[in-house]
Amino acid sequence: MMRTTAAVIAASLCFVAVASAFFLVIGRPPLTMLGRMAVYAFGDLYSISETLVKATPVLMCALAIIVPARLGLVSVGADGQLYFGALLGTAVMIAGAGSPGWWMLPATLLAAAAGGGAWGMAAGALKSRLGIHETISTLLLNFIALLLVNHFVYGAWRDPANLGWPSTIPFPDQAKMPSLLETRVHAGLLLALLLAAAGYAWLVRSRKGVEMDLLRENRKVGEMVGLSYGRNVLLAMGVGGAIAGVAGICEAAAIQGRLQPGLSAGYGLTGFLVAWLSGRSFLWAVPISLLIGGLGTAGDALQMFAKIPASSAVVLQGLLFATALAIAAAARRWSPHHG
Amino acid sequence: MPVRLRGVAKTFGALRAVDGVDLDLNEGEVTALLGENGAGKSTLMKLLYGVHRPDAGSIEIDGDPAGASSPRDALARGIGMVFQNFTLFPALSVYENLLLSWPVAPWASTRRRAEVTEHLRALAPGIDPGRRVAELSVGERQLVEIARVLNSRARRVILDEPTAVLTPAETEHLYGLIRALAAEGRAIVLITHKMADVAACADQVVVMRRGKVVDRGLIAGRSADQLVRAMVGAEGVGDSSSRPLAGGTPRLTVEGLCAGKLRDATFEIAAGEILGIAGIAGNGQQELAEALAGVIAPESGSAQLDGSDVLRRDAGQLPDPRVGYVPEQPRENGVAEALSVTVNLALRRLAGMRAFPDWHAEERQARALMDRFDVNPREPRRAAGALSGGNLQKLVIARELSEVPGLAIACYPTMGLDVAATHAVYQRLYALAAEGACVLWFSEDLDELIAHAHRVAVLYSGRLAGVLPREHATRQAIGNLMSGRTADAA
Repeated sequence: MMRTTAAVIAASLCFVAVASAFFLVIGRPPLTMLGRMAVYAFGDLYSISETLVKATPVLMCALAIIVPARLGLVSVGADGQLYFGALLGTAVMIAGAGSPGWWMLPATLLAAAAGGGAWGMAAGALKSRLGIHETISTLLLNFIALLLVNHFVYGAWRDPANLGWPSTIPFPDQAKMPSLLETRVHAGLLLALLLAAAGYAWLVRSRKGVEMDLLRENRKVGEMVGLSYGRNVLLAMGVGGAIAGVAGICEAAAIQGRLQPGLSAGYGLTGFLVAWLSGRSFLWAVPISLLIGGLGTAGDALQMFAKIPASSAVVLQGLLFATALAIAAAARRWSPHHG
Repeated sequence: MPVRLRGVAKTFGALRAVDGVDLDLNEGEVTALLGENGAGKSTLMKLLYGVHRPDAGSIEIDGDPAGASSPRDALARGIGMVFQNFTLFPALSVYENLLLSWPVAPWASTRRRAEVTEHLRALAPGIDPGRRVAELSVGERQLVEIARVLNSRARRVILDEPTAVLTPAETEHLYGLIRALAAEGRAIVLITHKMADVAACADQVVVMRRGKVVDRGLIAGRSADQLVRAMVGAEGVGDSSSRPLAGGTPRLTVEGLCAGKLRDATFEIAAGEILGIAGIAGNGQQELAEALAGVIAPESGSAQLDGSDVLRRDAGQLPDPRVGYVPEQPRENGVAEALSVTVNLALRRLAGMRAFPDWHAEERQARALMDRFDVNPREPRRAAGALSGGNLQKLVIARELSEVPGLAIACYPTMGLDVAATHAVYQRLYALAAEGACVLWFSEDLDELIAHAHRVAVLYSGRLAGVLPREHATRQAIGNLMSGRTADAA
């Protein structure tokens, strides 16, 4: 833990240095810009709420990657699971739109979890039955899920009242996560934090966590003591997918209000990077997601108020990931050997 | 100029692995570095080879007091090391492996092929350079490793327990090879704990215990007893107890067992009987052990222990609690190296534990097992992979054979163990047999089987070539069966 903390501090300092260099290159005063970024991301209730809004799907997608990673699986499928979860959740919403009731939120959430879970398990089954590498299958399933959503929102589910804009009918209030403190932040954030804590409890102290560790480290020995690799792959991919599916329906219902193309602003990939930056830790994924959310919010604000190009936020995010991964690798390298 | 180590020390955490060692390596001389598991032999040589940097002391190579900063640097200064855990790429051919570490530009050509495989042809004319390393036996792999080190023009060659994995014939061959390499003017270091290795080819012997050199000198004038005593310290080696008598009725009945290379194995083991299995590696031993241990499902045949089936019929089945299984090469087949010793000791019970196991209780239990089986260091939270080879072997034995199973399967259980630990394994197997277990003991050390087994069965190309009762189990008879002849061939 000491070492992780030291690495996080070192990564932050390095990021400040390279971000300063970036601002110098584009001809802006670095310290002023960095100061403004901090204010834009965390300076008042509105900034903080926007940061939390952005952090919520990123954190859920990171969790969707971390669960299969316990088993040594490198899934990049959070985006596809997010889209397919949103698709199934929306189907339930549309089916019940005539008579919305209290049941709508739990029903859409469950449908989204089932959809995301099924999408994850599809890749899991390909892995355990046919040995198809999960990174490839989850990557390709991302495209299929995204295009399926497009198929429906451009086609059968398009809301005619929406003047040709491709999207479904709006979600009724009964299908939305309750908002917190009258901001755009919704209870999905609490759910994500709860899931991070539950994931930690589930996979760090439990028998299941040790089983997954064992199968990751030595599958042969794991199977020798009676564990099934295939069943664990399905479980890990299913649970991870379900979390991403919930992220999808929360984003569609509570934030965007409708299911429409471009539901995910790269949350899956960002979540993947957060998962790897956190060292696949359920707990470290939380602050890192918040940081990424803050960076996104600050980037939007810089674009509006400081007139720097929109792509700057992406550049800064890239610099953050690159420095953090470099520091993480260096920390591992310099840790003492045991012989 | 030779290699001189002065006052070299290295500490890992609280463990003083090497504690102020002086050592000279001279050209044309074979130095046996003798000691128990964890005595610091391998660590000392890794310091010389640049894997670790010493905390104190100096390593002078050819007059340069700086020591090697990395294995690459060590190779450049003519120091090569052959490790216990081989470092070849199994998916590549022998030739490709040699080419990868060829010191000058690695372009393939016919002339280069001859050049790269020159040492290999001299060492092991029987190995086809086109074969994939995965297909080679451990003995053959080791010869490739040695050829690779010689290719780097190493003038000092460190061999880390080279005979631990070899058959008797391969061992004899290696002894000759070591003498020849020394005769060509190389300095050879032989890390070992076998007296036979020392007697066969060492000029000087250096005995280490707990990180320190406790005895050194020319091999001439030192008896094996003297060296053993120096190696294990005052506590010494207990006398080996006599072989218990076998019981009567068969407890384990194996009929027509077929799995992979193994063809139609039929035999019985009585309660309290130790059945030794000899044979050259790759003749079906692994399949026999894994089928009986329930690791693989056999193609056909039956195996009954006390009248009920022990074989695995489908994947994901729990292991039969009546069978204890110590697999070959425990580092790969017996533990998860990154997980703690506690978890590794609890693996057999893992699938049946409650959702949130009491890890504190598990840790106490692990500590008790470590005490009982002398697994060092006693740190149950440490990753199992950090244990030395011998201690790792003890860990697996502690897990699999701490309670008396109906059938104990031990694959090369003393491989890589020092005198005291080997003795402890013998004692454990005797105790199991004395309590009525069937013991199936795979070994490549014929003397070990002849001395301790009630009967010795020999596997040859997947079939049981013969089962010899102890009075007929001679080296000659077993050797004949191992090479495909009849037991009484001349």
